[in-house]
Amino acid sequence: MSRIVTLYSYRGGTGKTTTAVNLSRLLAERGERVAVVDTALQAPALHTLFNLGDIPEWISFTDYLIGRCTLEDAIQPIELTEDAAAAGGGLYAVPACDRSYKLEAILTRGYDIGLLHEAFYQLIDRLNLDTLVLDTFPGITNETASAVARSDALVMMTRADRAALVGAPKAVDAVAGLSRGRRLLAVSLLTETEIGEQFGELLAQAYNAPVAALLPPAPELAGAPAKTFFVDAYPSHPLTREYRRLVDSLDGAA
Amino acid sequence: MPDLNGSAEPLAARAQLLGYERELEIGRQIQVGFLPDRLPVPDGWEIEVEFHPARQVAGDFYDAFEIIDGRRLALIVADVCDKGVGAALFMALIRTLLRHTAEISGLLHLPKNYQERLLGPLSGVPMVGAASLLNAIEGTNQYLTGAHARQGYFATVFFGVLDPATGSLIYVNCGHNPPLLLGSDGAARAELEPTGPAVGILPDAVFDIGHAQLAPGECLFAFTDGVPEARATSGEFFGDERLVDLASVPVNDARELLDRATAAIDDHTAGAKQFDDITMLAVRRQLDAVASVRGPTRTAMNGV
Repeated sequence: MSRIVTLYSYRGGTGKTTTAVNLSRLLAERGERVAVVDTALQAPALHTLFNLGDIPEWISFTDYLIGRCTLEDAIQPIELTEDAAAAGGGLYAVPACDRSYKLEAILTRGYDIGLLHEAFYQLIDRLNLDTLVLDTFPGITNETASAVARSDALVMMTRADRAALVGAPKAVDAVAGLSRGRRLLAVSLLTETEIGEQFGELLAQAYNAPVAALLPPAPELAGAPAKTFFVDAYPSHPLTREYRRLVDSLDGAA
Repeated sequence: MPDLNGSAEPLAARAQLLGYERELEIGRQIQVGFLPDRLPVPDGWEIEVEFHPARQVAGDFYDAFEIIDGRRLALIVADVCDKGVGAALFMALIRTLLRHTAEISGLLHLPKNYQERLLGPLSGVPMVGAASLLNAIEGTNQYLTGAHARQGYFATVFFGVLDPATGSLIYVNCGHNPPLLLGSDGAARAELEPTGPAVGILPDAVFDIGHAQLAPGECLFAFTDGVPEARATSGEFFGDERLVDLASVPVNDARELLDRATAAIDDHTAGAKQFDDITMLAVRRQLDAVASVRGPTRTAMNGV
């Protein structure tokens, strides 16, 4: 049974793409076949975090949507360690495009919204996926709404600040309501200090979802990557531990 | 003195009549331009059409054109109420509104309640083309009921969007004769019933989307009411049963189906004056078709 895991947040900068990339790596390591799609057409980052440098300029998820390439063209296989490959794992990225003239076509002409849904299921089918991970643009966009509507597990990401408790939950709820899957909350912490249990409970209540991961800050993320995946470069880091906890929670959710 | 005025009148009247006939003939020729002169035919498919107006100008029309960057084929068969010049004028209007809206409609103008209608129902059926379809039908309906309510013209419309790679067909049937879905053995295995009212009657009407799947060898047969209502000299209608019957023998291709239908109608009407416009569209998926890669389609001249 394949599943769709969507990462969603109301505000930007909560760590969705970093989480998507490392989550997919951990799933592949367990022998799963995983693909990650960048539906954040307006501000794509997946290709950067996956270190995808030399993709031809006419190929991307964005190009697929506006009819310039096929979905197959847009699939980028990601190299795995021997262990992961031996376990039967597979990892693929479907990055969006950051070249401005292509974005203009999306903004002015648009594309058929049904193509998103079709792409998700065609990827699952053609790549024989266990998990499809969808990275999204924050707030409310058509692509985000489609990604949330199709999710079997919805990972809502938030920072641990006042805005997260006031205002954001209602907005998130409106979008999260599109999903028929289970909701999980992942909190991006600003400081090393643990947030109080009470605050954690407040967040869980506000978002009507269990806290599945408390992601500590990691300055290492800002530097040039030694390896593509943080979880590979820093296997004992608390952030890696929380990513593993998130993967385990997903098993419970979908 | 001979009464020259007296003998001039019938001549003047005749000249005027010839003038009207000439105008109608010009109208007919222009109206042909409102029908596609080439039908886009995807690899692995056949598309054939028969179009016979009852008078010089028709209220029926059909259309076939690519949308979504060539990934989908829009198919329309429609019938404007009434006959003659009024119907022909509205045919031009409705045909243009439907095609233009479907072609330019993108993400930026989504139908009302699109979340529910496009992201929810018929789960498993990709709704690619549904936004264009709904925008075209609902936009045209709004325009007619708003700007032309006084004239009261409306049209029954069948508007389908076909995915040639898979045979998946989503459609809206606005009060139109249900097209038949013919199995590869020829038998009519389904009728695509109405999913909403005729276009131009109810402001803010909501149209539902239906879905059908064409397997290799299967054929979509759409027509206007001029077919079942074709009258023999006795006044007897051709009827829906005869229609289903003629479709029950397998055909080798879409052309054969339409030739057989035309022969059966001619046989039935046997020289009686044609009362209503007759339009038939057959879209058949070939038996040995290889799943096509999405790309440019070849075109074929239609028979008009």
